[in-house]
Amino acid sequence: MMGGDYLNLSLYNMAQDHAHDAHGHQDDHGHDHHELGFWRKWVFSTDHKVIGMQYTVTGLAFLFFGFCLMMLMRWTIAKGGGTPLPGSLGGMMHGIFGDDVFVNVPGTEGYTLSPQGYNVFGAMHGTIMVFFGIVPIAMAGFGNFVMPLQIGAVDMAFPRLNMASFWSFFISCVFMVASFFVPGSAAKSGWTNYPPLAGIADLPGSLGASGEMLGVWTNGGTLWLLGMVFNITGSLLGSINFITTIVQLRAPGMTWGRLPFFCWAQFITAYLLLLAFPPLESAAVMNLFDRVFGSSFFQPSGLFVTQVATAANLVPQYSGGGSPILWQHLFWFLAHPEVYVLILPGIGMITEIIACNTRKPIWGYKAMVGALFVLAFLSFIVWAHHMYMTGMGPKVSAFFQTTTIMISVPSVILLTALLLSLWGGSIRFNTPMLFATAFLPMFGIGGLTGIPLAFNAIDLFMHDTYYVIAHFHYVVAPGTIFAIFAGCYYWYPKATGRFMSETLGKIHFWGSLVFINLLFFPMFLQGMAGMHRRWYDGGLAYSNTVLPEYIKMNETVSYAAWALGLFQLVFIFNFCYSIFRGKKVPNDNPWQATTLEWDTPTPPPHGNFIKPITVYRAAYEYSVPGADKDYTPQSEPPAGTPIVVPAPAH
Amino acid sequence: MEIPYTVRPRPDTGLANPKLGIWLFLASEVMLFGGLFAGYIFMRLGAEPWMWPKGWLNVPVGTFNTFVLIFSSVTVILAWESLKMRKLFSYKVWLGLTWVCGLLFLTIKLSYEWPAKFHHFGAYIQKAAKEKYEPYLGNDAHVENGAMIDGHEARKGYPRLFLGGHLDLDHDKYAMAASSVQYVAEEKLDAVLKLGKDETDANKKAKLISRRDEILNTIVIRPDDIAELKKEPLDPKKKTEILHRMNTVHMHAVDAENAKPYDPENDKAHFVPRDQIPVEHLVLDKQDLIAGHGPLVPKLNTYLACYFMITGLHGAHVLAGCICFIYFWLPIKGGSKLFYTNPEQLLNRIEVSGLFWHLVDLIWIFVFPIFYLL
Amino acid sequence: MSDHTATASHVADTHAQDAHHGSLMGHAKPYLVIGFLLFLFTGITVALSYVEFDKKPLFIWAFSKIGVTGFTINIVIGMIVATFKVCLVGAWFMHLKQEKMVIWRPLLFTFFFVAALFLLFALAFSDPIPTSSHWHH
Repeated sequence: MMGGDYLNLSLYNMAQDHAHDAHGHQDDHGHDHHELGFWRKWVFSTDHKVIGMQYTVTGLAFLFFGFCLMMLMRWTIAKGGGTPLPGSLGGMMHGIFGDDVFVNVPGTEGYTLSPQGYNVFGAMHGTIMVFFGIVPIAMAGFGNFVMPLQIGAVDMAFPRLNMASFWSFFISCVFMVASFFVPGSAAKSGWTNYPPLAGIADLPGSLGASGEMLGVWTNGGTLWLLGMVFNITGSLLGSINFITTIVQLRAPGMTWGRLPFFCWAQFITAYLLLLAFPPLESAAVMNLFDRVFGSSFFQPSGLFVTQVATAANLVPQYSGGGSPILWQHLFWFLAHPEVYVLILPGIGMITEIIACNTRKPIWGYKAMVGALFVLAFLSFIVWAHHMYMTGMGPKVSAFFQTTTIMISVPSVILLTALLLSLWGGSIRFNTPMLFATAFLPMFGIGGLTGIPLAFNAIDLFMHDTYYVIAHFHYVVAPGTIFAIFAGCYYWYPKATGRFMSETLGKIHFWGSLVFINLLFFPMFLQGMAGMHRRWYDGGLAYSNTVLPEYIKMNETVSYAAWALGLFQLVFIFNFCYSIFRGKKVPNDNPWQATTLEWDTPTPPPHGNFIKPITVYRAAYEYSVPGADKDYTPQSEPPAGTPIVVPAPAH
Repeated sequence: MEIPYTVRPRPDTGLANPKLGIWLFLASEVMLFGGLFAGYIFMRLGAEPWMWPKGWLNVPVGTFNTFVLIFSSVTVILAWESLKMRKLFSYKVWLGLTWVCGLLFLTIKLSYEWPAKFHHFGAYIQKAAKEKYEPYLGNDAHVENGAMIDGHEARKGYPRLFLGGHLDLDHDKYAMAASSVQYVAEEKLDAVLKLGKDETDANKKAKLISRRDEILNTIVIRPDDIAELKKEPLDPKKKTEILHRMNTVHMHAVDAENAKPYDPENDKAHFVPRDQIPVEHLVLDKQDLIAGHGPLVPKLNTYLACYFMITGLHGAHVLAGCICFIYFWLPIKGGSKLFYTNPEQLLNRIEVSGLFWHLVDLIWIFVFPIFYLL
Repeated sequence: MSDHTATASHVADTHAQDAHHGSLMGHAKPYLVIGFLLFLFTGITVALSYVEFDKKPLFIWAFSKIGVTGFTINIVIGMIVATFKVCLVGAWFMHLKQEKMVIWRPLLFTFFFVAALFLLFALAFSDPIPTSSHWHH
């Protein structure tokens, strides 16, 4: 179907299309030709690469911020609530976050996280890492930067919509950050925001720790919801753009079978976001109604709020009749597919890097793409495995246990294919490849420890313990975040024209690998011993039910977390320093990769390609027998093919 | 740099970018409203029967609005057809009619349907106090006769507890605002009035006084009452009077169901909301009411919460559609002037916004029966 | 506008030019018919909602087969009519009747997932564990 005739035809059409559009509205693009000012170029840009970098940098900043929140939480978990933070750190934190989050430790000069502050940080750590860190980087950041280049497109299909989606995301960031500084501080009811707690925490009219009254709109819970509404809107606009771009703007010859796996992963991820996010948006609107207009979607009858607010009328008086379970259904209808939104772009990046650095094609490309489809489909019908504790009957629970076990099959196909891809390769262990290789066992541990949780009987015991924490952190932290690091090291030369330092990269990698395992592995043991994930003092108050050696592990874990934090400073330094002083790339394709993003100038200009792009071959033609070099770019015509020169555009 | 296929279809997919984009957007909209409707079903199945009212909305008005929206769906198609035939005048007529219909729909919603709810008063009586209001609720005889209440068989566990009607607004212009303030116990009021009284630190005193005023403003509605409460010394007789006013609701008309609670006619589905039937001065003690009494707003019950949320979100979509149509209709660069430079692009725009408009219509086709009729 | 080549856009363009010849109402006839049907069925929905189906033996019998009783019969009938109307709008006004698979594919998934959203909530009601007292007190 995609024969030579077709190629000629579509190139010709493309040229005609250009001519036609140019005729249609010259005034729309007349100003493309002169240099854009700073604001249009770097801030209100419609260029997919700049938007991708905006997403990535914002996301990395949030990733670090969310990590810092956790490092502070680890202090009270390791030391209990009675030990002040070391040195002047406590006073500084108190100065930033205020009385609602940090309290003076009686008898000392120092400050520590209050129980309420612990809840704030816990909720915001989860929210920020998932919705403001990983998704913006892995999906929106890398997807925006790399995907249009890989399919040979000039930009996204709707550049202005792309800008709108970033700014919608940015507004949501402002809401989330601002929520730390309103009376009562940010949301406290976990990243899952379960009602009825989510409805009655931060009640408008109640008083914050410093005596300020919480406003109807300016309180942590409401700002969280507003932030989520904007975040979701941004994601929806972005995913529409991604799908349209991949379907419509593939270069001539870029058939579905030749699409790089990263683009497949982005394509499927965009569908997940598109169809799974709206139910959470509706749930967020319902929850906003509850909090602002006093309705009772999620507030059950007979709810008795003991916290007597002083300004009686500002407090929503719920009429009752609502269902907290409804929130859980709508939330997890999003949040299970969201798990795959977190991991699939990561797997996509890892696939690119493994193919390039093993110098051989990906093993089982078709099986992997098929697995993606099955994974995406099943991910919509497993959500209630997060809700076994809600009093679910045996029939429903049997259904969800079955689908949950089924979904492990495609995940294992992906992992196995990547593992087998390493076999027999002449592997280059540069920094991106180190992260990519480490990703495989780490994601494997994360995935396999999820299987016991799929069963109702085990989950009832494990629910909300550190076991669950360890399980999903293994998937997203040494999983997706390692993939993000790998992606940063890998595509950095394309974005900046310079390499990141290999030496610093290797220090970053080995430090991260060792300490991230020291951080999360003990949590499996703690969880199986029954440690609950939300204990403020790390279980000291429950030391009669948890064996002391498991409580002692808290310290090991915390030290590992702080050490991990230190090693991230190496990355931050490397990331900033290399922009100016990194080793310059020798040519446009420094990794000698096959995919189209390496066919652009470095860094790619607005409009990406300076030559017409036609694709002649599959995505990963490495070490083809008989070829003159060990990689054959997708755009390289087969020997003896006449090169089609398209008609000039103007 | 040009983005390909913004106007013309890509040969192998047969689509131009905007068309695929809008369909993906519509898919997400289907999921959004799917979530809302799923929530509605969940709420309704889980609601206690007496919490889910029927016959509160005006069916003829709702039906008229449905006709308006369907008609506008036809006109937008005609506008698209006219444009396809390159008939500018007829395009302008049909598209003009479309957005006029959209605005008419919104006007009816915002000038009649929603305000009607805000002027009505509703309250759920606490189960413990239902004997006190028995003449208006009529539970006992119903339970004995096995008759229907609000479309449900009367059962001991599910008494009718709702009282709706009009407040005595002629006599008290603050009545509606005061009605939604919850019961305030005397001790609570005393505690508020004491704020800052004995404080010696001037700075703290000022803070506490401002807090006292803030609270008074939210629980006492009449300015003269607030002034009276702030007086020193406070007249205990006046205080009792004000407390009484704060903690009671005075009604001068009630819904037909409450005026004649035993009349079987009242349990039939009715076409338009019945007139309020005057009653002799009826005083409700706020202590007997479940929190959330007042005008018919989301706070009152889950039915209203669903109603306002879904029709509100739908209304926002109607508004967005109208704005797009007005933009494409006005003789500006991106609007009908595009006809002369790039009619194919204008045609695409109308097709895409038309698809959105049909979805808005489609959602209303579900909204209308579930709130107005069933 | 004159670049007539053998492409899909060319077909669309010829269509536009052919269309000059017919009358608007001639082209719009199917839409007017559908519009009329939608009006008609709106009236029917309103009328049906006042029929007491739970008093009609035939309907009681028929709906008891699928476990539906009381006023719920009216709800089910109302929803069937609404779904029919929605299908008319989708098929004709939104041209889904002759739409391409590229559009249909994501829509089919959407329909499936919306159905999952609805059905599993219903399942959560029909299958509570025996001691659960969330809904009935």
